[in-house]
Amino acid sequence: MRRLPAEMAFGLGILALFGAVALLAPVVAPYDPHAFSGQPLERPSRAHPLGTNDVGHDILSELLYGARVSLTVALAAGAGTVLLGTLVGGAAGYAGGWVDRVLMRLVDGMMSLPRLPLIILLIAFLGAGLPQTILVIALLFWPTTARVIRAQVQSVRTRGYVRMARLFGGGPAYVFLRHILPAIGTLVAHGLVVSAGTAVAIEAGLAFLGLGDPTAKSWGLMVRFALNLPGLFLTDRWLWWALPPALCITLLVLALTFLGIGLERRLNPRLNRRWQ
Amino acid sequence: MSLKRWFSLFILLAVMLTACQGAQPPPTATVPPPATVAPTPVPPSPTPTPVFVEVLRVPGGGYWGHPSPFGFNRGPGYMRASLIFDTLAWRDASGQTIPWLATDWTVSADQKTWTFTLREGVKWHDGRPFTADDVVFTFEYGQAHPDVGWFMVQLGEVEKVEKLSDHQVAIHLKRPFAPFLQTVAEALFIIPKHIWEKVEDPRAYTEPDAFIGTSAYRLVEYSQEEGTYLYEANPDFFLGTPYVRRIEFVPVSDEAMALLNGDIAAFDKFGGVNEEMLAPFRKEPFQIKQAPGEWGMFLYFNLEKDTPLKDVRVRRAVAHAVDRQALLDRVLLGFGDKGHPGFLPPANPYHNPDVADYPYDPEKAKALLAEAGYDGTPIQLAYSPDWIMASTRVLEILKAGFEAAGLKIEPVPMDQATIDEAAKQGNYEMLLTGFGGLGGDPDQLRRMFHSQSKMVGFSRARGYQNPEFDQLAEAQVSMLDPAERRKAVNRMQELLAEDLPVFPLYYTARVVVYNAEVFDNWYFTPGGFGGGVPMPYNKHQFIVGRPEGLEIRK
Repeated sequence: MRRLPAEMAFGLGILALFGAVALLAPVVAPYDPHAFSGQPLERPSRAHPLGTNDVGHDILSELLYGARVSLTVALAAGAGTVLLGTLVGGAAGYAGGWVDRVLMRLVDGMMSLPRLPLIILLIAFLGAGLPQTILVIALLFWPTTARVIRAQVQSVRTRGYVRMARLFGGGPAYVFLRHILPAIGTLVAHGLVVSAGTAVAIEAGLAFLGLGDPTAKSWGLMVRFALNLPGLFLTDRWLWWALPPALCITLLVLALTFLGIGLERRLNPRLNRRWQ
Repeated sequence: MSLKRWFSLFILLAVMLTACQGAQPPPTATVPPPATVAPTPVPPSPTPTPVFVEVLRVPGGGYWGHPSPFGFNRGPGYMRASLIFDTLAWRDASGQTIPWLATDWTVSADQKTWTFTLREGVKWHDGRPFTADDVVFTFEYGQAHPDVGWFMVQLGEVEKVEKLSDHQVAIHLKRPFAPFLQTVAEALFIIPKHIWEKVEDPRAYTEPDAFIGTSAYRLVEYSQEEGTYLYEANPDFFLGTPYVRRIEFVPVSDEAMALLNGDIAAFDKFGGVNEEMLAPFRKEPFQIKQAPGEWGMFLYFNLEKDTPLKDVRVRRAVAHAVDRQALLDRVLLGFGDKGHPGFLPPANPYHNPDVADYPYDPEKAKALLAEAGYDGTPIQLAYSPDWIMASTRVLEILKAGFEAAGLKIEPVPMDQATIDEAAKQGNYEMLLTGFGGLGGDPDQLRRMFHSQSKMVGFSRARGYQNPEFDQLAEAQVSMLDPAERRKAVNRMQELLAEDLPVFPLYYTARVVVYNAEVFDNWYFTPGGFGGGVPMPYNKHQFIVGRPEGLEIRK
């Protein structure tokens, strides 16, 4: 077995760490993040290692529970994006002809839309909340994946064993699941990782702009509330209130990006050569 | 592409946070004089150097409508329009009504006719003279368009307005009206007849001449996207060239930092400050002024809708489930007052401290709910997290109490325009909202709670009916003996506290923090200006540069 490349190891390590934190949040967090466990704006102490926020929630507990929101979004929105992308891209690539043309013009159209204003509009329309955030990300970010998948499916479709399977009467669903999907598996995984990273950053951005569920415990919201404090930067309070969630967002997106790069290299060995 | 964009956004954020460590001023550092300081006297001259403020830059950023007499929203919008438009009378730091467009007024023995003598030589910004015709037109136009304009102004009390001469008008009222000066003379913007007589939809009218007034400032520009409002002095203003020559409301991300850096001249906060935040400003050249709470946060119960809230026991249960002390300590950081079931805050001269109270007691709330047969039907609670960020924190504290009492609440987030519209139309079950003006005339209780009130506004209670309240509310309007009126208003507060059409959560104390080297004359107006606006932005101080009087500082 080949040794795992450094960037993949880094990505997987961070991801595993955040995953463990998210799963074990109730065990490792010192308090319920919604409980008023201290006075407002306490400085770090033994009882509250990262102090308390503007209403007296324990910041460390908020941070640990925040991993749940980010990873949920990463997983759900990432999966949604890839599912839509694979379906559309797969259908276009496999069917070809007018189906391909119609679907790909749809993709072109979607990709030319300015996404951030559209997200804000959709959230204003659908209402703020985690499910809505996930839905909007999945609905707006599948075209990139669809395009990549379509290209790959087009090439796989013409290979001998696939043509043979079709010749022997394999239906589209059978051929797609049995022969094409395995051939594009890594590509799907790569799409998932990249979309997950986008989703994390977008969720944080939306929460920061006040377009998420305002009572959820998410990293973006933590930064938002911290920055809302008058004169946050006049003392060292930002060090334990605003910086940790910002770092967590950065780290998680970084981990997913590295993982994506690693997968891409594995997919496309030529990239490796070029970089060496 | 998108990934990269978002990623760089967060890198930027991280960089910004890191960079701030370097920028963090040590507590002893002296702050360089702000760039906006104007009055540094130039070489000694035999005559005293004129003193004035060239630019006063203050935090804005929110959009409060276009500053025409009919296009603005809420108190901050009124304030932005008041720099351009004048009223017959105004109010300074003394809390007394002072002459403004009118130099003098008398009231008839039956208290039903007010005669105003108008200032002579006043010009509109376009050069046309201001006359009694404009005043008569303003009242008639306002009565023809009752749904627009400042909701504090009560034109319904006016029978007719009569021009006695070019500079004298008589205002005939339907009945003696105690709050006339504060809620009409001090609040109604006088508009130019020659412009508005051709306008049919005053709220939507945004042509450049919609911003022609008589006041000390002319509108340079405003921007809906950025929330900026820029004004420059009107050299033809009737009191002379104003002390502050230019006023700019600009978006600011961190107000405290911006004030320290000299980017702005002042910032104000309603609640939510503590000594740690004020500490950097407890030294020269900064000054701090505080005032008690005239801005409140409320739970409105819609009694027109068929919800469990129709039962007064459920409303009392809600009240018992609200930990007002926690709200005061955690949301305002102790900087304010606990909500008072009688509605008027302690800062109002008519405040009645002896009304029914509902101490935090989830068990009692539970018992009341059981008694009322509450079956766990969820009640929707509209709130506006992006407008008043504190409402999210309020909601979190409310949730804890409601859960303990077994009350099911479904929060519905809305933006500011939507929630105000929902409040106006009565489109809510329970509403978390806030507004100021609570230090003003107690007649506001009639306008908000009288079952037949004609007020169209976001503070109007829905479906509240109590004949005794209605009768007292009508009677107090014409009571000119303060003791008699106080008695009636006291009883009204008792009734409100028993019936709970609205439950007040807290009143925010106010603070203005300013750089005295730029402008040293900030004040809070007792009772508010323009009928009750509680902000420290009374135009009077910018115009004359003093707390009282009409003489411009030189």
